[in-house]
Amino acid sequence: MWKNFCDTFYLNFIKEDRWHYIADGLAVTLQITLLAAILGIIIGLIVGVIRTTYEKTHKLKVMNFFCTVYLTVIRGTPVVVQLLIMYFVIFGNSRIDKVPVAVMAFGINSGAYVAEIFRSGINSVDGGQMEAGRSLGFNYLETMRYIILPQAFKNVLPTLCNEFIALLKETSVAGYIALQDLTKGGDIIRSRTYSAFMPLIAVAIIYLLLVMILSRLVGILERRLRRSER
Amino acid sequence: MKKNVFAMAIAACMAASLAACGGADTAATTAAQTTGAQTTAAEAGETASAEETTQAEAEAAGGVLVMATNAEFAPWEYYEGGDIVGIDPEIAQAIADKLGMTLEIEDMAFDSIIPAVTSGKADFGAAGMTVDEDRKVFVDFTDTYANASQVIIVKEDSEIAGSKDLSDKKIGVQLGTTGDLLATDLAGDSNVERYNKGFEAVQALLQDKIDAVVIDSAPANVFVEQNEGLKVCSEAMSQEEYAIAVAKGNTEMLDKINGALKELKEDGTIDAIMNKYIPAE
Amino acid sequence: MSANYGTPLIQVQNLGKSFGDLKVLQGITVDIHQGDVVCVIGPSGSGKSTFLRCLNRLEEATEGNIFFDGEDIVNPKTNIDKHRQKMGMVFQQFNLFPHMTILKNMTLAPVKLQGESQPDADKRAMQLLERVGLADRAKAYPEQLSGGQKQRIAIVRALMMKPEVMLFDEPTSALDPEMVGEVLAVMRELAQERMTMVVVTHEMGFAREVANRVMFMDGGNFVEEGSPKELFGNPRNERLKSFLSKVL
Repeated sequence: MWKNFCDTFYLNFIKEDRWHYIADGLAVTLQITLLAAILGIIIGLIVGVIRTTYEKTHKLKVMNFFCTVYLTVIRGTPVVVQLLIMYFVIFGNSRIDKVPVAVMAFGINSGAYVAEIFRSGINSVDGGQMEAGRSLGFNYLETMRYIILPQAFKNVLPTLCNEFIALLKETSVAGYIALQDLTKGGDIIRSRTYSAFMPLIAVAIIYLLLVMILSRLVGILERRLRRSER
Repeated sequence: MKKNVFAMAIAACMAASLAACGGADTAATTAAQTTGAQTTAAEAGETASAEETTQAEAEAAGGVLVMATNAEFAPWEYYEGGDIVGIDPEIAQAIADKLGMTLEIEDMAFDSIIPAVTSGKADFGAAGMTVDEDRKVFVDFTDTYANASQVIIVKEDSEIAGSKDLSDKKIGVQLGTTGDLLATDLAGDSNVERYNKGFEAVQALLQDKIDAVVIDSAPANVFVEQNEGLKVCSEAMSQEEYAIAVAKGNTEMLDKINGALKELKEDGTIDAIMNKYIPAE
Repeated sequence: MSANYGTPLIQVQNLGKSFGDLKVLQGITVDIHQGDVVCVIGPSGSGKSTFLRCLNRLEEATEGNIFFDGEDIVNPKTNIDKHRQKMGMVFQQFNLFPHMTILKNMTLAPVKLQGESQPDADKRAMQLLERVGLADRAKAYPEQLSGGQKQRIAIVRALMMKPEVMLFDEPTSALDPEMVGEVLAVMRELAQERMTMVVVTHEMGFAREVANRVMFMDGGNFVEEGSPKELFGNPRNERLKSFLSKVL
């Protein structure tokens, strides 16, 4: 039994340095997740502010329309299809590094969800805050920047982190564009060794550990935030 | 009320799909699984009963033979409408007929075929699969039934003429194929782009994302025929033979299939099927 | 009617405001002069707060004009943000910024909008905090303060912008009774310094004692106005009489 375990372990990870597929894949996964999260925050912030501005002041009608279309399309289609469209259609006839393609696809996807998170966060800030800011002479955007967004951001930080945990797992479809992320790394080993158990379980454990670490950090963050609310 | 109807519909669909899984499973389906499927089927009512009937009929007539394949590999196996057709399905059908069994085809990723066979999810794998030493560790191969080779597809204006030009080029392959292994040896791991499907590699080649595709000769010819601006390099990178894979040590299945294959070769059925899909030039 | 002469600081002409079909304000014409302390009284729903909020365009007027420093601020082309810097506003619910210290609450606008240096702003803020007796709370956050303390901070936060007029929207209505006095004391001091003030209030004692003009609003317009003595001592309008009989 033990011997058998050691043999398959050797075959799947040690032989021909196959663990490199997992390690390199992990690096790619983390890289994509981090960059897509940053892109998602930027997009989400812009779209979220446009949407709430429209809701509260009925200004920015055209931009709000485009934002609504964006949200509907992105949230109404699977991320793997968006990824394939990004790779085979939008960047159809060009030789482009696949990591930026994946970052764009996942970032644009995540941005839609982050936008709604920010929207609810902005809406959760008391309306009097906007009036107080405006009455001091700040314009709408300045009030957003100095007064509303810092409070909204604090309110949604835990939700935001959960979105990025989901994002980490979603990047596992990056292999569809032949990108060698963590999942694909396991797949390559599987295609070489024809054993399902070891590579899949190893990949699963790594995702699980990452998610557990991130969740723990979110938990600490939430407690910190609660403590600062005196 | 509306909500209830919706919930029931979903429950019925789920039960039906569960039952379908049960039905498609091999003779090795465990008792527990079958019971599970039936219990859900009972809940789902009529939706699943039809499924059960087919299963019952099939078993009465000598059992179900489940074939694992990757139906994106014309002309060996591909979709035509809703059906999987091609050389392998026809040969498999002929084998099933000889054995008096009902053939069921399960389409999956190429790299999942061997695990499906070793874990008993499928009785055999037939997917234009090359006999090679690595695979032999995990599965037993039947007698071979076709010859093949790996070839290079490039754009018509490409400077690549053969395998010697591939060393620093981006090569697209289908994950887990002999082409994947060959290309990895030739160009190094970081230069090989492993797509889930062969046609995606070809698509990437058409879009100049990669420089060449290494793939089996028969599908290569189909791809080149269907897409403008591609050509196949004349060099055959390997000589390979296709065979059917069965679970390691399943000599009963191996013997049955070999017996059927032998008869089919002798009576010319195999040749006829080959000629139908790959007309001699 | 006013105690002052010359060009009024705020000129309201035929001001009207509707929410859809509902007319909240109509036909309001009033001048507010430098140094006026105007108390607006009236039953709830009469439009007092809406009137006040129209003065700095927190509500958009649907009719009429409001001239402030000679410029019509109802005109959408007017840069209202510039004018608001000169119109301090104090809200019923304080609306301090909970994510900032008291000091930061006070210095944010002068530093960001008027280009004052942070040390200079801090220094002025500390002087104001001394005056309202809250210097020791400069580093505290709003949540750590009582309601009365918060409202005093809200007042000095508005004063940091050196406004020409201060607008108060029921500044003591959200306070526990024992804290009303400390807020009114600060407002009284402001009035003594000849700060122009428009105060929507239910504090009749304050209105009687501090205001030079009291205006009674009912049904979206001012139905009677005068000195506190005239208005409280000799009300002529029936609705005012009935209102005063209920609140006094």
